Amino acid sequence: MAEFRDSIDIAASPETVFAYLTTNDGMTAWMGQYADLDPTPGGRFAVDIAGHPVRGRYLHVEPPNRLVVSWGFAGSEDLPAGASTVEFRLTLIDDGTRVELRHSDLPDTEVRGHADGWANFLPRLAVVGAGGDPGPDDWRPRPD
Amino acid sequence: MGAEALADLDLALRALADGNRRAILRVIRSAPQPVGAIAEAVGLSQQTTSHHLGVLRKAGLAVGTREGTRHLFAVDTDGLAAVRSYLDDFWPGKLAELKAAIESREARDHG
Repeated sequence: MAEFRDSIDIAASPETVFAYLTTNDGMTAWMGQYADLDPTPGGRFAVDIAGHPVRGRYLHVEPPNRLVVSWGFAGSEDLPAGASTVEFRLTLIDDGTRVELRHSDLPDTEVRGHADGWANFLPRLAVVGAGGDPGPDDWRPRPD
Repeated sequence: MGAEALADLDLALRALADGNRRAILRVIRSAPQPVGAIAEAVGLSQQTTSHHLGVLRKAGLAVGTREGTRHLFAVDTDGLAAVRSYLDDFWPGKLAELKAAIESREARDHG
């Protein structure tokens, strides 16, 4: 199983950043057009990104430092609701908060051209990737 | 990434959003196949399968090759690599949006 890691520094307190990961309005300010979030262990994590229903649960909620959610797509056979894991770690730094993201339990993408890799990888691409234009600012949901 | 590359990616992602086309890619992933064999494997008519193969070809995800007199279809790994690199942009793009959303609000509240 593959994983993806990235991090970014944000000029705001961990508490502020945490709110953007745990409130409906905070979430849709940066990801998706609709969110229904219940940030308690086992609580609902639902975000629609350009019509693609990301569904999972809050697995670990430790304000304001750590958040783990399960992540998949309603109706997908290949990456069903809750199938992968996304972890956010928020660390206080001098000028704000460092957000470290780890998306794990993903289908293996490393074995290029290898049968099993592609079989798992392509459906994942379809659901995650079809979310829309990757540009950071001018992204809009696709008109229906 | 230029507008042309984005348009290509959009084509590829739309092509991949269809379950039948993903099934077709699974059939041809390990070895090139003629359209008849692909149609049988995915349980679609030859005509429908040809249509989907056309979409996959236009999207850069499948290529037609010739083996003697047989016309075979294979996965185009270049097209898939482009989509893979798009996926690698998903979280970096989203984290950049998170940063922008928070910092613009902070500046407004304190400015």
